[in-house]
Amino acid sequence: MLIVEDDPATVSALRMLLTRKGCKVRVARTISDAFIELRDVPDVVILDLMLPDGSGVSVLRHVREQHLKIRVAVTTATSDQEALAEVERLSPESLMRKPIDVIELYRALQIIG
Amino acid sequence: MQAVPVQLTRHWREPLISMTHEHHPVTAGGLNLINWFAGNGRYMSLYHCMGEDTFWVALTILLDVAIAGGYVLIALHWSRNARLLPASPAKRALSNLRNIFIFCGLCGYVFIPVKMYWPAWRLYDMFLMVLTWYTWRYAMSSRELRVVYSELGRVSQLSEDLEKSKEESQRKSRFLNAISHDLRTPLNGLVLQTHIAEAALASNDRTLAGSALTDIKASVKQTANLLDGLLEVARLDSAVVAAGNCPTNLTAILDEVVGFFTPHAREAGIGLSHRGPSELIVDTDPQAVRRILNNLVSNAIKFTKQGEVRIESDAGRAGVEIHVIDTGIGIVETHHDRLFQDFFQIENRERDSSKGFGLGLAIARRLARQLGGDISLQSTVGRGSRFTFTLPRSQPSRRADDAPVAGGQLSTADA
Repeated sequence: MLIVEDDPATVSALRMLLTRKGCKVRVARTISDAFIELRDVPDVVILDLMLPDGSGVSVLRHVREQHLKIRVAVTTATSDQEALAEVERLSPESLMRKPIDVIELYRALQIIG
Repeated sequence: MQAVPVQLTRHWREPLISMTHEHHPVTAGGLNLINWFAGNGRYMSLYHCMGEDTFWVALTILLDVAIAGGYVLIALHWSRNARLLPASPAKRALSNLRNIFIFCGLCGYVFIPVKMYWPAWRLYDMFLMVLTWYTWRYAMSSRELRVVYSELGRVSQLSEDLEKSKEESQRKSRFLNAISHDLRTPLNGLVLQTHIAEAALASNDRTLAGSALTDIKASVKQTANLLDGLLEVARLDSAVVAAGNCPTNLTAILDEVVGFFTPHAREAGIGLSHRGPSELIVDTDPQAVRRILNNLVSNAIKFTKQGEVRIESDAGRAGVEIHVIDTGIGIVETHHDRLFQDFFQIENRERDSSKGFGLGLAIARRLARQLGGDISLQSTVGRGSRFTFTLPRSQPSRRADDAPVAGGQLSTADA
């Protein structure tokens, strides 16, 4: 499982929670790191949208265009409707607004993971 | 009586026929308008005027028909487009102008081919009478043109205003989006950490619970800081600056700031020093100056990994300059102006370790401008930055909204 997220508090919390659930977690803090991590083809990507070097949409688009067998859960703090619409067009397996509901995340991961 | 033969080639001054009672429309048995319009045979057709030169006659007719066709097309477009505009003084003025235009076209160019073979100059004069009436009526009310032009001016002004307000609303929505993002992010951390704390308590893991609580505290503080910053921006945008001016010794404030940040600098492994005159008295608001310097110095320390942060102050004739010079990561030139805008953070990988909301510099510049000064920046990537805070000797009293801020005012207060 790959977490693409730049907020350190969120990263450490997610890592801890998901590790406790028995997931093997890797972290990328920027888009470029995420692309490097994608070479190992994780099962699931938890993807933040606003990242230091661009929008996480590019990661999702890459996954879709390359037809990678990766399921993508987008988590975002943005309220920009255009950005959200763009994400929805790429139909991620799950789209959660921050603050994310952990129960919903678990459910989504069990469904999609 | 024998009919007078029509002479086809004659001098233009030579009379064509002489008027006799047989030729007069009233006396010569009934009113024949077709003949009467043509002067009962006394007028020459243009065809004759042109010496029956067939090629040139044909060319003239062709050109005239072409021009008349153009007039008709223009008239059609004009009428069709006029329907787009609801009734207004400007529309009325334009339709008068249109009527004159079309009449000129009719008289000038439709009549010429007609007169080639039917010299109906009398009919032409009647049209001219109507045209004269219209033209002079319009000439007398030249105010109408002013109506048209002032209306057009108003329209362009309105569309300009619209453009501006669109930009403003886009900026506001970007601002709101930034607020949303920067509030939701620490909230997200907060929610996740509470889950961790919960799990830790369930498994009786005291250390984990402790670290979760520490993170929660940090997230809460971060959120509170953001709210403080936002409130500050709103306050600076709307309020009158508090008149807290008094003779202030800047050197004392600088020493105070250096004293406060020295432990931070030592912790970060960099030097912090101040050099300048021992006394630097300026009539200004000490609280605002302290806030600005705190911001500049804390930023400089935040973005400097090694080397030093140096503060230099000196007094010029116009005012005082305080330079905060660091040997940090530097700032790309394209970001120099945007840096002072609200919520602007340069995309850098150091962002994680030096959390901020990008409100600090925006607030600092607002404050500096309210004090009658400004903050400027020189920087080279990889070599460091120099922020220069200028302050006038004595500060004119100003309202907050007199001081424009780069990137425009952010009116969160009235949002």
